[in-house]
Amino acid sequence: MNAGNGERGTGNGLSSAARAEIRRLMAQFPEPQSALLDALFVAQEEVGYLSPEAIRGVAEVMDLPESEVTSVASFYHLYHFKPVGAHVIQVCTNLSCALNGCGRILQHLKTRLKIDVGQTTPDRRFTLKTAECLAACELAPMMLIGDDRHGQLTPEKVDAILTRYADGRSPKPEARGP
Amino acid sequence: MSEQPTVTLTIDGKALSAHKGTTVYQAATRAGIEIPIFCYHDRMPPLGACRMCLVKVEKQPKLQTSCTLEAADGMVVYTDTPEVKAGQEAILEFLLINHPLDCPICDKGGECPLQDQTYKFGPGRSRFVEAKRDFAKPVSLGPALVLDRERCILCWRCVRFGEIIAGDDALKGFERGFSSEINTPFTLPVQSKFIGNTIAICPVGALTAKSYRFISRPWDNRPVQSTCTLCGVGCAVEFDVRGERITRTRAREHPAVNDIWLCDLGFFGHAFVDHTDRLRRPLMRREGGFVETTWDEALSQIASRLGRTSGPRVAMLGGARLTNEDAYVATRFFRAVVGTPHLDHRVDARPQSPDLAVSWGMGTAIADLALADCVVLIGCDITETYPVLWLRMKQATERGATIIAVTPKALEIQRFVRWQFLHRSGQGGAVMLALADAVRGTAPREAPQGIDRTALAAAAKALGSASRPVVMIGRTALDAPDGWQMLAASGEMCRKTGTELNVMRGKGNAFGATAAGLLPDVAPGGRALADAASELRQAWGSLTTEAGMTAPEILDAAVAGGLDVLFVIGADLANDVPDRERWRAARARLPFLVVQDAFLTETAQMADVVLPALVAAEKDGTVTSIEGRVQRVRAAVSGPGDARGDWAILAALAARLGKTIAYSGWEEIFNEMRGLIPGLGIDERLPVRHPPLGKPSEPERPASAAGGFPLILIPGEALFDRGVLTSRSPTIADLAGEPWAMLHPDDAGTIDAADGEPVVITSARGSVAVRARISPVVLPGHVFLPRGYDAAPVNTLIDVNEPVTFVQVRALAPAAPS
Repeated sequence: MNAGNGERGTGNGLSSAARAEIRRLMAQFPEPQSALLDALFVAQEEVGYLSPEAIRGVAEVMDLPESEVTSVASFYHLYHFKPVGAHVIQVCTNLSCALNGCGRILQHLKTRLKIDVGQTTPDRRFTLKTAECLAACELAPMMLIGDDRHGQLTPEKVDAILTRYADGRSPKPEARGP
Repeated sequence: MSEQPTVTLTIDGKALSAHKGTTVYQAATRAGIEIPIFCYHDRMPPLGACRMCLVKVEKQPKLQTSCTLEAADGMVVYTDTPEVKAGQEAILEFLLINHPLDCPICDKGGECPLQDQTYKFGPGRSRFVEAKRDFAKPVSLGPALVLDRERCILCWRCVRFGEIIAGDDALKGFERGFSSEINTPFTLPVQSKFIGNTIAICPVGALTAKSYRFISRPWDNRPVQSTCTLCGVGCAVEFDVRGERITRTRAREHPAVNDIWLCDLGFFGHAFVDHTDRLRRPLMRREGGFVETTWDEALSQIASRLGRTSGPRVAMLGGARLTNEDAYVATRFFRAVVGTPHLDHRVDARPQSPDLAVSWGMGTAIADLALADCVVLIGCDITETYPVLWLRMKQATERGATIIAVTPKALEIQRFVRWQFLHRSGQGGAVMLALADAVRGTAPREAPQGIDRTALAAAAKALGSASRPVVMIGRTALDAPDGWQMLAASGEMCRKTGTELNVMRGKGNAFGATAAGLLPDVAPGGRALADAASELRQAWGSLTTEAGMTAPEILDAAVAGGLDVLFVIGADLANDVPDRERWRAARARLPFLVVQDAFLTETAQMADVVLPALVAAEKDGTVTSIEGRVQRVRAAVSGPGDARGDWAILAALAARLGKTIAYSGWEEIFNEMRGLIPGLGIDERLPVRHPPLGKPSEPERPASAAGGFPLILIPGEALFDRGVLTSRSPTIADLAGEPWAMLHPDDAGTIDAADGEPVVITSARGSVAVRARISPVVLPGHVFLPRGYDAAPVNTLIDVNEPVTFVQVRALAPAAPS
C-alpha cells in the first residue's frame, strides 16, 4: 500500500537498523517477498528468537500478513519461536548420522547438559535440538552449534567442543572443529 | 467476444469438447461424470493437494490428478478402470490413517464429503494399525470457530479461501510433513469477518461452528430459503430450522449478489430471533411501569388517542427492519388512515447533512464490482458496513484494479489499497477537491496538510485512466463536518470519470422503506407526490399528499410541542438518532409514544404502548437490497407469543379507526405495489434515483479545539457490535467484545492509556467508558468510536448543532509498567 501520508508501519519490535536491513534485502529480489527467509534471520538475530513482536515487525516492513510470516517461519527448523540459549546445538539424526552412532552423541549431550531435546540449560547457554539432515554426511555423526559444523563426533570430542563455547560466545574460526 | 478455442477429448468413451484451459476434472463434471475430490473448489484455482481425483490417461504411465490436468486434443481419459479404483482406494485409505472416525459425534456427519466419498469410493478397510496423529481437540479459535486438527485432511481450502477469496489470510498451514497443521498463528482467535465460509467449504469436520456444535443433524433440519436483512447487501441465505428454532444460517448461491459466500454477521447473526427477551404480548404503561395487555386493549388505547388529535400532529419514524410490504402498508396507514405526511425511515440522519439530500443505494450492480478497474472509497469502510461487497472488490484487485481510499481511519483491507489518503476530520473535502481537480487535468490545488501531492496526482491518474471506475461515498463522509463538500467533490469526480455515485448508506431494508414511500417528500417508487396522487387515491382512498417533515424535523417538532403521537416502528431512536439529547428532549414533550418492535429497546422502555412485532425470519414477503434488488424472505419460524407482523398490526389499527386496510397476504400487497412502483419484481432491481448534485465549494476552515477537549471524535461503523439485535446473538456479541475506541499511539502516550485498558471519553455533552485500542490507523488528535454499542452510545457525546465533536480521553486505571 502506498500511503498518501507517508509510511504508517512502526516496525514494532525491530530496531531501525534491522528494518533498514530488511528493506535492503527486499530490494535484492524482483519479488520483495522473496526476502522473507533472510528477513526472519535478521529479526531472529536481533531479538534472539521470533517473538510475536518480531514477527509483527517483519510483517509490517514487508507488508505481508502476520499469519503468512508465521506460517513460513514454522516450516523451517532454524527459526525459533521461543527464547533459546546463547548456543543452539542441533544434532543430526538422519540416516548417515544414525548409522554412525548419533544416538550415543545425543544421549551424551543430554546427560552432560542435564536437559532433554527442545530444552535450554538453566544458565541459558545451550539449547539442544535434533535435526533432519544438515547436509554434511561426510562428517557423520555431526552437529551444528550456532552456524558452526562439528563432525566425526565422539563423546570426548563433544566435551572438548562444549568447553570452547562455555563463555557464551562463539569461538574464533580457527578454534572451531573440523 | 471472440470465440474461445476448444479441444476435443474422450472421457469414459464419451467424446467431449471443452474450452481450451479447462481441466479434465471440469470437463468430466460438466459431462455428468463424477470424479471424487476434496481440495479443489470451483471458486479457486486447482491445487492438486488431496490426490483424490486420479484418472487414467492413455499414453501416460501413471495416474493423473484430473483437477490439475488441462484437457488436450485427442486425450483419452478413464475414470473407472480397476487401476483408477485402486488409486482412489489407496488415497482414501491414506487420508483415513490419521482421521479419527469420530463421525457419530462430528457436526459434519451426514453432510461430510469425506464420509460420502469413503462410502462410495473407499476400500472399506485399513491396514494402518499404528497410532494416529494426536492433537488437543477441540481447539477454540475465537467466538465463532472450533478447530479439530485430527479430522483435517490438509486440503488447504480454508487457507486458500483466506488468501484468494477474502484476503484476510486468517488460517494458515504451520510446520511441515507429518507435523503439518492448519491453525492461526499461535492458536490465537481467528481474525476474519468471513470465517463461516471456511466452515461451509471444509470437506471434513475440522472446522465447525461453535454455535452449531451438537445442535442438529442435517436431515433433521428443514431448510427455508430467505434473504439476510442484517446489513443491506441482501445475501441469499438458507435458514436451517429444527422444530421452532433456527439452528444455523447457510449461504444460498446467488450469482448476482453473494455468489456462494456470506459474512459472519450473516452466518451467526440469527440467534436473536429466539432470544428469551423477545416481546410476546403488548405492553401498556400503568402507574409508571409496564403491564402486559391484550391486543384488543392496546389497539383501542392507541385508536382513542389518535381519535383525539389531528393527522398532522402524528408522525412515524423507522422502517429499516420492515419488509417492503410492511413499509408500504405503513406508508398507506399514515398517509391515508392517520392523514399525516410526517414519516421517515432515515432516523440516523444528521440534520442539514447531505444524508437527507441523496438517495441511498448503489446504481452500480454488485456483480459488476468484480469488473471495476478502479474503486474509490470515500468515507466508506466497506468491510465494516457491507462486507460481502469486499469479496467482489477483492476479485477486482486480483485483476489489477486500483483501490483509492479517502477516510479518517485506514481501512482493514489496507494491503489491497493502492492509495490510502488518511485525512484529518474536516479535511476530507479538501482531499476530494484536490483529487477531483487532478482527475480533471487541472493542477491540484494545494494538498491539505499531511497529504502527499505526488500521491494525489498518481491516484488521480489511475482514476482518470480507468475505464470502469466505481465511486462509493459512505456515512463517515456524508456526516463529516465538510460532508457537503465531500459529496459535491465526489459528484464532480463521477461526472469527470463518467460514472455514477454509489451512496453506501442505510442498513437492513432501508432501501425497501425508501421504495415503499416511508419518506416525507416522495410517493412509493420515488415518484413525486403530486404525480402519484390520483393513483394513490384510487388504491388507498383519500390521503395527504403534502410533503412532510424529515426525521430530524420530526424530532424538532416534538421538542417544540408540535406533535401529539409518535409511532416508532422497528427503530431504536434512543440509540439510532445522531444526538441522544435531542431525542430525550423530544420524548419529554411527547404526549404519546407508540413503539412497535421485537425487543423492549431503550426507546420502547420510554413508550406508552409497546406492540410486539415479528422479525424478518418470521415473515413472508420481500425486501430490497442496497443495489435495489427485490428478494423474497420466508417465514422460517412462527415467532414468540402473540407477536404479529407489522403490516397486520397497522391493518388491525386501521380497523379500530374505522378504515379498511385488508390484504389476504404479502402477495396481494406486493401486487398492489407493482402497480405503483415501476420496475418492481422479484429478483429485479429498482433504480436508485439521485437528485442533481451541487458544485464543489471552497474548503471550509476546520473548527478549532475547545478548552479541555483536545481530541476530535470520529464516529464510525463496526460490523460486529452490541446493539438491540447483535447483543442478543451470542457469537456476534462475543466477536464484538466490549465497547472500544481507537486512539493514535501519540495520544495514548499523552494520557497514559494502554492497549485494552479502560478509558473514559468525555465531550461537553456526556461521556462513555470503552476499552482503548491503540493504533496508527487513526491520525493523532482523533478518536474513532464505533456506533452500535448500546453500552457506549456515540450519540451521548454528540451535539448536532456543532459540526465537530471535541472530546477528552482519560485512562481509568494507570497503565501497567512495561
